[in-house]
Amino acid sequence: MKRTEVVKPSPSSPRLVLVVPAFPKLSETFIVTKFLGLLEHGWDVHVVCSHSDPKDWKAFPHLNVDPEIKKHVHVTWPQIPRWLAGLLIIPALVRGFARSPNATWNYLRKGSKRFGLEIFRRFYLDLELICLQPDIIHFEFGSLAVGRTHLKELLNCRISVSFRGYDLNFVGLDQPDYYNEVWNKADACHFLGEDLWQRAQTRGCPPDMPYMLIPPGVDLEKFPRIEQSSEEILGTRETPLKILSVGRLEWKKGYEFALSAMKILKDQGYFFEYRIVGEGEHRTALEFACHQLDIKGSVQFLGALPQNEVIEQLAWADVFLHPSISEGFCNAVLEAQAMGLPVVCTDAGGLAENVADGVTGFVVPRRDPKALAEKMTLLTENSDLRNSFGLAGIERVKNLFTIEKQLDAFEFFFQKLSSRDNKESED
Amino acid sequence: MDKNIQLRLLFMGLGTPEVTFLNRLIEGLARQGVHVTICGPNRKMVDGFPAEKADWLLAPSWHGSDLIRVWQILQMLIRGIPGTRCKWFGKLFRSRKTLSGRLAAFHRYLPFLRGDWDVIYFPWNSTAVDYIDLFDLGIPVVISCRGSQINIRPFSKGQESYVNLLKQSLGKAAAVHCVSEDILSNAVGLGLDPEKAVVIHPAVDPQSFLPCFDNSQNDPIKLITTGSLVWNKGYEYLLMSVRLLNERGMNAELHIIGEGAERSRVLFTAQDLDIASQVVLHGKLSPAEVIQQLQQSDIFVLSSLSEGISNAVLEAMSCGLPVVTTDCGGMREAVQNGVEGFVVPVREPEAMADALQKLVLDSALRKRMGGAGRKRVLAEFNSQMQIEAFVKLFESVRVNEAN
Repeated sequence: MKRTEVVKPSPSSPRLVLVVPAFPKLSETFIVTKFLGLLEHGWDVHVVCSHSDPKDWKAFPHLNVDPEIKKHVHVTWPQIPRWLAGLLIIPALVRGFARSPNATWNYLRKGSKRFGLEIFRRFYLDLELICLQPDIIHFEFGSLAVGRTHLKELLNCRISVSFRGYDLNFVGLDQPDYYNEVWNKADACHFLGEDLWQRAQTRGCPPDMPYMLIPPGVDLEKFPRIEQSSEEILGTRETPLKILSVGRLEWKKGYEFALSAMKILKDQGYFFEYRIVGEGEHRTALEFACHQLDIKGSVQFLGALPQNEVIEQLAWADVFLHPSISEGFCNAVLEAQAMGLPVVCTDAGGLAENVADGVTGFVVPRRDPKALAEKMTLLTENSDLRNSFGLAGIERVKNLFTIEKQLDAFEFFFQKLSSRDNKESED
Repeated sequence: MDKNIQLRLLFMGLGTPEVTFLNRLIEGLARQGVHVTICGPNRKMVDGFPAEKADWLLAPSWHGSDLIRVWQILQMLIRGIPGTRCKWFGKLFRSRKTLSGRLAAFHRYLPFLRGDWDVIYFPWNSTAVDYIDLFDLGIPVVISCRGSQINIRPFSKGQESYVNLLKQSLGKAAAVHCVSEDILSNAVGLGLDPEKAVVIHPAVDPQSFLPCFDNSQNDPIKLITTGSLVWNKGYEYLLMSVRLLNERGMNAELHIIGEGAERSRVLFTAQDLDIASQVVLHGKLSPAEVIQQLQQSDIFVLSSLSEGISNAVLEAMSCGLPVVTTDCGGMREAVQNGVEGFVVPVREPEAMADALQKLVLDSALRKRMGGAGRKRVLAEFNSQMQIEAFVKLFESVRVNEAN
């Protein structure tokens, strides 16, 4: 990601709009990377978001290289307070008719038949998308597409959706038909891995839905290989096993089971230091667990850290532990492998596709402290195993999970989507 | 020392959500002839409690519109000005160094300028900490230590000032009530002088929580638990136990009564463990509905990671249910392993599943343990006895101070 220049798209290239909640966001760096990559490769790509904080722009120097880039990011008009949104409907109509009269007219004409007066509220929310006249609208999270699929007909475009984990694992769980409109209207879906594709089908996605599995990618320059500790045996008083976890302090990360595993290690006489990077509302519960399990002295909560400090912590560690209960695919585990850390993780979500069990780390059943502890003791006693896992991890990321691979796949995804578009319009 | 003079109690139930057991306590005290003044932000706090049985002291919260706040302050001023505690008020006002601190103190302590009480009672540690200056009024103060505010909060990050004030309040209190021996020992760890601590276990009214009908025909066996959907109730571990029962071929379903922040965690876990069809989330139910549910159930189960002592377990015992509980807080004081039910270690779903399995397979055992639980409640956790113990506690600090 060094160049980051906007390559002028050819006039025939389809216009692609990525819909996200906020842009740019540190926790969603992958969207920034994808956006910039597509721009460089000559795509006519735009971002529509509802928040954009100038502070966050500073965190992404790449975004500021070329002033053209900013013109590709569009923020929707305010929705709160409601009275303000109500007042702005008139200027919104003016803007719509001035920018793209045909699209605005078609949207209102077709939409009023379906929604009646309600169409003005929708028009206000969809204004930026209408003005852009996209060929493809891509929702970066599944839940964003719910309630927006009417855009397909009203703007006469294709729509596609990314499912990344939380959307399929949690959103609308107690409403069985929550995603039905998406399954009916979407032209294609993207999933981070096989697990999410299976989950989508259990939530009603038809098996003949055109889809692609595109896993996340890691920037190998940012996550360089680290040297493993040369000690043969770890887990002693002199050379305690250094264990690291990275991820928000939420119950779904399964840290309580990791702490129970630490208790088992302690009772078996192993020495270790366990550090957790991340912050969240489950912190009280975890601090209480440390107190209750009597492992306070060996566990440190480091809070949320910027990426360069996360990398320092990865370099410090001997083992990366990821005890999750629910997961999309997990970038943190990929990054740990990229740096050559052996991984112990659960089989939650896409983790079993992420880590090669017995090759780059160990994959154990979720909610099983005994299994976590057992695999960590295996690693303490065998430096060859740690080294071979680490090297295999680097290879695995290089071969399967690079940013370049990810970008190629997305280009293929969108090309296919737009060519289907042309074909049908020729018919 | 005059027991004929009515005891005047200021009940600092401030800002807490409506809690059934506190309502029952207030009601019981009033019936015993204690004159209770309830301090709270509005009268809604004690829902269903006959308002004429207690006085009210308005202590508005700072939240709300400015206009209402000005009106409330005026009200408090008019009520409080003729008071005799100006010296105390001035001192605490001057002890605040910043303007905002002074404003906050002014607003917080204004309601207490006037009013005659023999005892001030804080049912929660956190309220005692918030109103630490009331300890200097010269009126004896009693505090209750109930659960997480002693067991969990002091061990969390950024609670240094809370712990500091907690220690101060425990030091200044005339007497401290603990809901269990376990919480007493934890509070002693926080500097409580055991000499002035009194354990009064929570209690239930055995006349409202009556034993269940004959459920021995229930199929599947109905497990029940009540408690907010929050992490300290340990529901993920409970669901793991139900899953284990499933794997062992037991036919049981779990009913959870309560609402809370971790509803999606419970839903997800039940689905993830493939037992969603055996788990019923009832949400929050009224006390009458809770009794009804208990009476239709076979086994009560408590998976908590931390407790003072669980009222829910006592209610279930009163209804004649056998109990499987984790060994946390004062639960061993309510349930003896092998008598009224089983006590298993926290965070160990297998142990809990083993205990549940014994009860699921043996209806005679359920009956025996349930009966033992009912007996125990009648003898030791009877609300009548509890109220009398509270009156005695309040009287004792009044007498002591008079001497």
